Amino acid sequence: MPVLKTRGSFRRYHIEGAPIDLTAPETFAALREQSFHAIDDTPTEAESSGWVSPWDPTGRDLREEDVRFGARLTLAIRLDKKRVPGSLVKIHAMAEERAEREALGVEHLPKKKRQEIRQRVEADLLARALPSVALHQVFIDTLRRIVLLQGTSDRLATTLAQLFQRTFGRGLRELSAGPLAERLESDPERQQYIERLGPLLLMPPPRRLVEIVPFTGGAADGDAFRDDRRSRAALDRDSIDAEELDDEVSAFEDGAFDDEVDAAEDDANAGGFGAGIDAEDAADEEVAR
Amino acid sequence: MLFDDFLVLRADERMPAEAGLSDDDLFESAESVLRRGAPSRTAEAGVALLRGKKLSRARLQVADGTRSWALVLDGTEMCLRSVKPPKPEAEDAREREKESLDALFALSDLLDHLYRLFLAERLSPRFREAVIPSMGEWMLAKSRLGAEEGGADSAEESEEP
Repeated sequence: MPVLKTRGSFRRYHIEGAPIDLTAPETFAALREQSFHAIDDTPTEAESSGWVSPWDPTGRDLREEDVRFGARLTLAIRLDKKRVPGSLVKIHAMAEERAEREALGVEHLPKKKRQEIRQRVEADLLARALPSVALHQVFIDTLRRIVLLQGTSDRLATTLAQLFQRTFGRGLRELSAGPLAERLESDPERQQYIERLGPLLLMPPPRRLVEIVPFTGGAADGDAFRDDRRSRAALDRDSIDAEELDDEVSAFEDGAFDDEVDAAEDDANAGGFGAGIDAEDAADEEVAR
Repeated sequence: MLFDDFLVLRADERMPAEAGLSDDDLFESAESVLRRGAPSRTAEAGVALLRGKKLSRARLQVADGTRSWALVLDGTEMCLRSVKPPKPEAEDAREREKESLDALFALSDLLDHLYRLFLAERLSPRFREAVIPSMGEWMLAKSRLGAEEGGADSAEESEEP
């Protein structure tokens, strides 16, 4: 039965900084140092996380020959959590408080004493509780500097980032659409453009094409891609701020640009969707002026 | 690459206010899910795009030589969901593990390659000059088709608020 699970859902990360050297003895020493330690018998710890080998999920035996495939590592994050239901703590604490009151012959216990009892009860129950266990495989390609995490929860992603930093001294950058584009695009001018690129909202005429993420970067005159930014770029060229943008939108809604919109609609009706774009440009230029 | 089995189109919550859309333009629901029956060719897909929704998830079939993978690509986070890699063929257990690992990273590389092709298109002036107009025409054509056929189509659609 295969140990590695390469089915399921994955998040991808880029390893920042220098490549990880798998031939260096300290690499595996660091992995063993950050390996998982069990909390089955500990009364104080409610959670534990660390590296394990997929071939030995106890965390006691993390062997290089198991987890290393050339320049790749196959690891797993083990996450154990103990939970004691609050209602159970309350029941046991009430019984303890009653016994204490009767032993002392008092009607009420001081608040501090009640807190001590509750903490003691919680620790006793925690020591007897069995943890829930989760294993998430992590595949690391040290040459490409890519990490694949099996699982998509944000909490797991945070655990991975912290564990990775503690182990290898390097940060992880999630390869969502923007960072992935920056990683794949080597041309500096295009990289700059990617940083400024927002989602494109396509609407038919008389709607305009607008990008909806507020534009924060500076516009470069003569930028071959600038026109694609549509009204946002036009606004940026004249340094119009968000308040002015609201005014512009209100004016648009009040019909201040109806003529341009009608022209765009006419063009669109005559020649299709693309024909309206020039008229929209005219409307944008009018706004910018 | 095949791209035609399951599509999710989702409205951006920020969109109406930031794009200056009125309440009338608000979407009937936040999400449209199209399943089976070649959904990318349906009128529903065009109408959802025209209503301001954007493609957020799609099931892909990716093939390279004799290997093929199935997955759902989440466009927002670029997460790979429900990945089904090719079955390893090696007889030795350790070799099978290595083959599985190679296949997973090969999928990652293939998706990077496809995204690089998309970027080349998206960042070129041609995108504005040719692609957007053709997308718009396609959307309008699908929308008209939907109006003529009363929304009847072979793909299953469900609205998820």
